[in-house]
Amino acid sequence: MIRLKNIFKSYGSENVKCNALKGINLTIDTGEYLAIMGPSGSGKTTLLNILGGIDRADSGEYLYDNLKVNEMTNAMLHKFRRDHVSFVFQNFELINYYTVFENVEMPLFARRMSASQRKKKVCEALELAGIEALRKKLPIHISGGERQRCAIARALVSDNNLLLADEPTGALDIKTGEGIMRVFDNLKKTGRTIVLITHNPDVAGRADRIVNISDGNIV
Amino acid sequence: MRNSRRIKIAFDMCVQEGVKSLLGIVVVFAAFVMFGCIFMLLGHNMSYTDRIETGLKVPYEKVGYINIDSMKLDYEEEKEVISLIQECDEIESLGHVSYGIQNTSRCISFLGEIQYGHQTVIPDNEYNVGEMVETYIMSAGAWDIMNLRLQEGAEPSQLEPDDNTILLYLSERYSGLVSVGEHYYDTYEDGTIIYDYVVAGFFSPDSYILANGTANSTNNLIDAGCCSMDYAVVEVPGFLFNTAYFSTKDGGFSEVKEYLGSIAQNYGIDIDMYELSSVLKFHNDNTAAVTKYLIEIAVLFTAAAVLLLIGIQIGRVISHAKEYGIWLTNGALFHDIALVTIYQNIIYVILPMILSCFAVRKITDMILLGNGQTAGPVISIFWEMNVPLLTVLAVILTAVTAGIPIILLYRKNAAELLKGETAG
Repeated sequence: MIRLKNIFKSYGSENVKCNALKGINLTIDTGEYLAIMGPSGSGKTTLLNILGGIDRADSGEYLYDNLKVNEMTNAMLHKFRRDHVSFVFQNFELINYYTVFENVEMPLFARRMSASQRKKKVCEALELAGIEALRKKLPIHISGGERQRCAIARALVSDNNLLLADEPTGALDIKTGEGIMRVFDNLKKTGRTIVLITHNPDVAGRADRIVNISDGNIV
Repeated sequence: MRNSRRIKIAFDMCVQEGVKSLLGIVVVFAAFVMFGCIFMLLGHNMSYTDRIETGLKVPYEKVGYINIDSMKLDYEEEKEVISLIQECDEIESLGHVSYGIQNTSRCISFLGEIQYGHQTVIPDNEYNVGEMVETYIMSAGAWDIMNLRLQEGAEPSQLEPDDNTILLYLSERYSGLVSVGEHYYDTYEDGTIIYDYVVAGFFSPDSYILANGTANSTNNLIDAGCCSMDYAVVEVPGFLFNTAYFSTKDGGFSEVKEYLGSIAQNYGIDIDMYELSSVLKFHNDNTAAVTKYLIEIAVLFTAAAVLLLIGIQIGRVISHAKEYGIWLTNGALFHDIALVTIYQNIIYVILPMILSCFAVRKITDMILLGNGQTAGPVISIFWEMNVPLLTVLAVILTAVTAGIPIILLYRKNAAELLKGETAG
């Protein structure tokens, strides 16, 4: 279970301060599929970054199961991320000079697996994302939808329980976006906790629960 | 993450940069070649006294040089003068050395096949391979002054050659070609023997003599200092010469000068005497300004190059910020990223440094080792000063150029790196 208590986050200096999150309280159950909706600049991505441990809250409490994430040192936060969190970004964030296979393989290098174990895991993830045939292609030679599937396969390969997706269909056309959302629908069956950010009510509608955020507050 | 993977990531990032990487390596390589050349010149300038000491068996403070104006003397008188000089109580040893003698005797010209290309006193086009050999001519007394050591054979003082016999001492490089005790006869067409060359010994590799012209003037700036006996062929004949190095018992040059003055007066000739320490002092005083200038250049150039390389490396890290962010959101720990940055710097700094050592060595060969005779002392500067200095510089440079970007990366979280942010 994830529990956020009174989370505050601001950016900028004392003079020009932007309050991104103003006391967020949120509980997410293990295995829940949660959609976060809100206008641009409302603090959705900031919230997702704090959930994923790639940014820190200024104050408040973040509990992941029994782990106090907000009290972790940088090194502990890196390990927390490695062991519990996977990301899917709107712009895919793939390394363009690595093949699809190598991109998906990336999280496994941190786990000191043998090459054969890695190959097995990557093939499974590629199959789940429906892009086995693209394994030797470079990201620049495949479509946007295929790139996002690659990013999803990379998120799946590490078996982390928390999957955070920041507008995964934002850069895709409607038809391709629909294909990606079907992959997410299937992921729900794996028991992972999924937190997805979207502007699109249709995409959000597929989640178990929708949380709306506006001007740094849950509404 | 395994170290091999970190190295692979660093290597992939370098390869991915393509021409940019190559240019970076070329810039660092060029900088290290410049460092290397400056260090070599500096080392060469600062080690003149060391090279002089390398060429001698006795302390340089005890060594002097005599030049006898023997034009007015016949052979017998010259012999008398030399004998009288040898009788001076303060002189311990007296020995002549002639450099760069072109010996065209057919009987030993085959030695040139090994020597050819390594001695440059004689222009390449003057003789063909195998037509001549370049030699030093020494008298037995020089053995006690110069830093000569044999690994096989006997010293001239043990052999006492007659007027027609010439003892040959050779670098060990010739040991496969000739053997100690072999005779080679230089004859007229009718078979009469002119000279009997006897192979008397082979030098050990740590043999050196003072370089040509080192001591025969108090105002020379010849800076070779000493010559190695690599490729050397030394002739020790039984006859006399009018110049000689000498060593004193207690550095009593004034007594020697007085003694030589009385001989000169008696025979109506001029005998010039130079103290090696005076020559050395003149040389070192004159090169001190150059040395100071070289040190200033080295310091300025090092500072400028370090700043430039830090700038290049920071630029490189900024351009890879997004990739570091991707790795951090896919299981990599910060110390993985730090090590990747260090390995990148090793590729960008240590690799060109190693390559630059080869280049500096080659440049040294061309500029400072024009004459293969001085190779030994100069190469020792290369290994004992240049390579360690370049290595230390490369390690410091790697630490600095990796350290600053690592600090920049550490101050940013993965979310900021994903946006490509590193500065600020």
